[in-house]
Amino acid sequence: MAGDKTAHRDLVRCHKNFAFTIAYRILNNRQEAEEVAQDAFMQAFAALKDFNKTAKFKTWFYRIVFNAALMAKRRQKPTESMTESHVLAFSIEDTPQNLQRQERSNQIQEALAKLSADDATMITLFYLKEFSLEEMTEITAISSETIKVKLHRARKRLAETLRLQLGAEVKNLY
Amino acid sequence: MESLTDTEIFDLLDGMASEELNQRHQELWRTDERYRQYFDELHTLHQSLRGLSIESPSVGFENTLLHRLEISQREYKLLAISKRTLFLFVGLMMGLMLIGLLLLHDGQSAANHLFVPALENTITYVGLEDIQKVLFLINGLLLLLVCEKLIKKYLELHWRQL
Repeated sequence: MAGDKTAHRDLVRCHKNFAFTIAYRILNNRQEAEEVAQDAFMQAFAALKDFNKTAKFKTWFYRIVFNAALMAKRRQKPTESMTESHVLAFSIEDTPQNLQRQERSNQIQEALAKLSADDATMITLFYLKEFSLEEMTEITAISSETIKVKLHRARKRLAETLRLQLGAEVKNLY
Repeated sequence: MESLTDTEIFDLLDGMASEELNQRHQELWRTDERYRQYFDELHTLHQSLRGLSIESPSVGFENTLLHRLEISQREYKLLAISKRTLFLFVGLMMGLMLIGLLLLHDGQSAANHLFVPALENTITYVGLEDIQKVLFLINGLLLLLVCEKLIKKYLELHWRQL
């Protein structure tokens, strides 16, 4: 029993951030994303004894997270998915390069929040955990060709959103 | 020269471009200013996305989750105990019925048994067929109850997996 608890804790520690990130990218709401990530862990633990050992745990688990987040998204009211602002934390040690990088990162986070759940998930899976197309196919149950097309479209939309966002920021300066 | 499509540019960025595509890109990069700007924009985005950090849940996430897990495991244990009790009850009922049926059968042949005369009187009064019908009905209901529990558990597990 104690061993179980340690194993569960290890699994949570190993996957909590990415599970939360997937849910957050889809839901754009931290509280809801935490609930979804927790529910996904609970589902995974309950079904762990039936898990096919030949399959990869991470793709199996992230599929649960992905499905749970999509279900929550369907239930979500439109007002709940409003973009949460990212707070910039400045410190004395921040170099101009770091600040610039941080600012760019925030701009991308904001642009990502404006994308559809589908687009944001594709980008999150591809870039943040560097899943291969095959693994993405397993997680999303979409063919690799479709994923490739979706990923390209998502990146294009993200570039457009960023362009619009930066254009608006420049306009606000004058 | 014809410009590259977005798909082709992303193939280049993902390192999946053919040699021919690479050459076209280099040629365009040298000669087409608009292409260079567009490629640079996507390239910068690609690099920024690669450097994007993973979000972290709140500090209490892990403990809350493990606490939830502990509670659910406790509930599961209680459920298992109640299920075991149910099966024990069903088994006991079936055992009692079997004993009853055996006694009824023996009662017809061994008339000198102590409580057989009284039992025989009851059977004659109610009717053996009626008793059998009631017993079959109870058994049927218990069987349905057991099936329902088993099917429910099976569906729950498979629903979760889906």
